[in-house]
Amino acid sequence: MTEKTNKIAQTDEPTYRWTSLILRIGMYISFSVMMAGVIWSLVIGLPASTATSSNVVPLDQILPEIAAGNPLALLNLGVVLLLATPAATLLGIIITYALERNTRYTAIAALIGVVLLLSLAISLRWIVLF
Amino acid sequence: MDIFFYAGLAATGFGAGLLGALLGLGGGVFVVPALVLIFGLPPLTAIGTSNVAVVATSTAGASTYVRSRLTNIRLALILLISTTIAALISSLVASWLPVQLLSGLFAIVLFYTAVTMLRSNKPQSAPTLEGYAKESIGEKLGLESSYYDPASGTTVEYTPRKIRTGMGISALAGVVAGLLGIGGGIVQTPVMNLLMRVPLKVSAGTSNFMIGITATSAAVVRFAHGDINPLIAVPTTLFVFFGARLGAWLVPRTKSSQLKVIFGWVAIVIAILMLLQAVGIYTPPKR
Repeated sequence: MTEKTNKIAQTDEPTYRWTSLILRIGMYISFSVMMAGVIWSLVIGLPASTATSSNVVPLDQILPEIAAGNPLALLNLGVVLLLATPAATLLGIIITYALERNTRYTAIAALIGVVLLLSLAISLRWIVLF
Repeated sequence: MDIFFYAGLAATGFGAGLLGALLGLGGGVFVVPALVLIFGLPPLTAIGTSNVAVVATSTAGASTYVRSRLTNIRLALILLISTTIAALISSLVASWLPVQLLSGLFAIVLFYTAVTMLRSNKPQSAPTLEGYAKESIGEKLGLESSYYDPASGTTVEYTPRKIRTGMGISALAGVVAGLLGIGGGIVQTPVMNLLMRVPLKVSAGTSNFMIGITATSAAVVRFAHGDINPLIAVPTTLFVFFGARLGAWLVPRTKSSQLKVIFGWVAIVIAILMLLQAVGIYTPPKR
């Protein structure tokens, strides 16, 4: 009923459908990975150095560390996947608005995407500010 | 770090998520002071952890709100322009600010939240019909929408107004997210509802969607600075999520007016402790 009476949801139906789907998929995947990381940590324990280090595994080391049997890397992957979910949602919004030829909202969503990319670029030191 | 530490984190996360959902706030407003005051963690670690928890609760909540079409995605995108930029800049600035200043700022925001909560318990005048009158910018941007309200059995039509002012004030929500790790819903929802005259349910749904994206731009910076320790963030986040789910289930079964009064006074006590910590009178246990 709500869906049928929401004007924007009627016009932007693909955007709403994909946004909802991406959010749910992102939530289930990231939470499953985090839970798996917790269980793995409880079963085999964590490396001794984790009590003092910052415990952040660099992005490019996450998969090799998982392969090497480090449960901390799986916990990191869960956090990364969770943080990637809103970005993936935004990408879905950009694509669906672009397919609908809604240039105004494609541009606005792309602008927000650029801000998120800027966050990532600064974080990965692709852009050094200080 | 021992099992009691993790059990404490889990309990803190669960309580924060539960209270946050019952009061219509994110869990961050409780997570940050608990991690700083009880666990003695550095404020930036607490803020980074809270950012992750906010993304988690927003993702879970937004998936439901968007599915039930209570989110105005176009309005969210317009407001997110200023919010995400403000969150990015303030999260970068946060790394350079003294931790005492961050604690002091958090105390001030907590005071504001508590007073807002206590005041919202008193009867207030309903938005006038004039408030929902159509405005050219809202129409020009295609923001007019409607939703079916099962409580009243009617379809509510609305057109957001004062878009430019709303964008300006929304930047504050970004600053709060970037500097202090709070979702910003405490700023965003009243701005949309009271200033922009968006119905409350849509304001809450749109705000919930927005804070996930805002917190992400801040969380990525915190992650890169090594402030998001997965051993702290993961258990806290998982239990914030579980608490929030229970809270959402309890909402229709609980008297929110009593909760708001309790929260208001508890938040004032926490704010005083944060302030005392900021000026060096209270020292939390070091970890």
